[in-house]
Amino acid sequence: MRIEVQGGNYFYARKKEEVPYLYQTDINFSLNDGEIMAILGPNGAGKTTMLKCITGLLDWKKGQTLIDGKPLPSLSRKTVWKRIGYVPQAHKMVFGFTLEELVIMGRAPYISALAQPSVKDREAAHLALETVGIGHLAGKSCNTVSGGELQLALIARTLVSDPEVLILDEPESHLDVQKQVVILQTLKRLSQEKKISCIINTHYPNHAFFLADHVLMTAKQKPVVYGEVQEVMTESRMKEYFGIEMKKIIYEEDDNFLIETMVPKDLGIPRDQSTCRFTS
Amino acid sequence: MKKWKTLLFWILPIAMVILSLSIGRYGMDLGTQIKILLSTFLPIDHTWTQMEETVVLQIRLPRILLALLIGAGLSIAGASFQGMFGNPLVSPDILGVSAGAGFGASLGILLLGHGFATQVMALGFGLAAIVFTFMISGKKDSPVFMLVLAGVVTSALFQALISLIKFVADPEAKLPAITYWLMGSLGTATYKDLYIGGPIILVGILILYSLRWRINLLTLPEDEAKSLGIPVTRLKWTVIFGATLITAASVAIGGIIGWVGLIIPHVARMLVGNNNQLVLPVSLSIGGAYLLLIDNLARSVTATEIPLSILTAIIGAPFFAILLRKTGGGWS
Repeated sequence: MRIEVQGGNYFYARKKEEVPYLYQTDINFSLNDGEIMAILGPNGAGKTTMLKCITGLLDWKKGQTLIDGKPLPSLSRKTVWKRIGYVPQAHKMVFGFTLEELVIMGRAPYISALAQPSVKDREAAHLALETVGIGHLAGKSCNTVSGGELQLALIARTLVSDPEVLILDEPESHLDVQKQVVILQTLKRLSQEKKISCIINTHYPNHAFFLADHVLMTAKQKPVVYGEVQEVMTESRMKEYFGIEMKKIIYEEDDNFLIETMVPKDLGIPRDQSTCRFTS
Repeated sequence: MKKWKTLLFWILPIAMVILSLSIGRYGMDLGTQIKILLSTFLPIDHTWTQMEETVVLQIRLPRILLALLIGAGLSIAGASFQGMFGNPLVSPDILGVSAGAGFGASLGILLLGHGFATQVMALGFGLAAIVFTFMISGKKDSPVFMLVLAGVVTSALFQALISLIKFVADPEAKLPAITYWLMGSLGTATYKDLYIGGPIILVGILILYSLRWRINLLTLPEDEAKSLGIPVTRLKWTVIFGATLITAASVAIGGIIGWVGLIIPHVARMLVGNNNQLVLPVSLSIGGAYLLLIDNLARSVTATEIPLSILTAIIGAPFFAILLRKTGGGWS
């Protein structure tokens, strides 16, 4: 499916006060089957808000989201949430459901209001947990598994409704490096094998290089840029949007293997330690 | 849940009803009262006195059924609210319904004395309280904490009004009646109460019971719940509606009965885990049996009736404390 935003913009209304739009320029992008878009930007730039607007959790104040060319509000709530899966950042819960119970919740759009989940729904939950590689944890409480495992379970929860697009809000940012890799590889695999598109908020430039086909970058008082990874993620643009000098680093093992990332120049270590610059 | 466990939760309240029939100052053997009970729908020879039949069918049975129904109702309402508010500390009176209904009843006793009109007032003010809470909270999709705060305001207001009524009530005749009533009692329970309040509580129970899986979804943060494609706001207010029916009707029949709606859901979760598909039905079973036990004590331990809220707390608190210590809460 094709997900598209045309001229989207938003503001948080205060009473009787003219408020400027949150994004300096309107948001435009489109994603096809299996494509991944990363959203980068400093804290407070409105990345989470953007995800909420894209999915209709918040209403765009102007512009619209289109699903296969149809405006999102014209589709029924159930249809939308069968096709779009929203993955929040993993968090502790007051009542520790088992992972199975948590994942079954994703079947809600298929289960009528007064009905209970069936054996089929339970099987779908187990299959989804297998897909993300944690089938053996189905009976564990979501408050006793690790943050990474819970994040995978939250991804599994969206998979049970057979989504075509996943929307992920910094799914990897609080995880250790190994768990980050598992999450990112899982997403890439889903996009390649099941042609699921992803829109993902991230703080890590190298995650964008690894995952994304497109990058959308935003910051306060800066126009929204959208384009190919290589063309958006440049040193000069990072300086402009994050206010910090970044160095692009490319590591090439052989012709077939490449790592691209960006690190802040201020974290570089001068040969002579006494000249270390502190910018903050 | 395992089969034998399910069976146990069915047997518990039924056994408690049969046991309760034989408790009381008018001594009777178990066989006789079971026969009397069966005679209502089976042709059995009358081997008992008219007196015995009256005691069992006219005095004990309606009271037992009401205790069962109110205990079950308050417990499922508490379990639903704890799930919906994602907070193990809330009870069915969190939105001010008990205080509102309590005020209605106090006003009724002050102006009209005990009776049907007073019960109607209690029910009416209980429902009015929820409307009041809704209005304070701003709009129908306001966040849960706004709802809770609005409930606190409503409760405080109606509590103050109850105090005002107690203050102006005749300390010889009216004040004891109001005070006693506010502590909860089924001492005056009749079939009339059962026929009027019973269906209201049953409807509430039915609403919550059928939404038991959906209440799992409501425990999630609101955006997350919405992203599962469910009508969160509508669902939330349906749960509130069901719980309000139960609470208001319970207060109208038996006064304010504390603790049941708070602790029984915890006991249920300790036994069967956090899935509300199980927590709600198990709360029904244990809650009904528990209030029945309490009411038996209330009517048989001393010559005068003991108010229910005193017993629910005195017996509930230590029991709950032990459970908490043993399981460390059980909801994590």
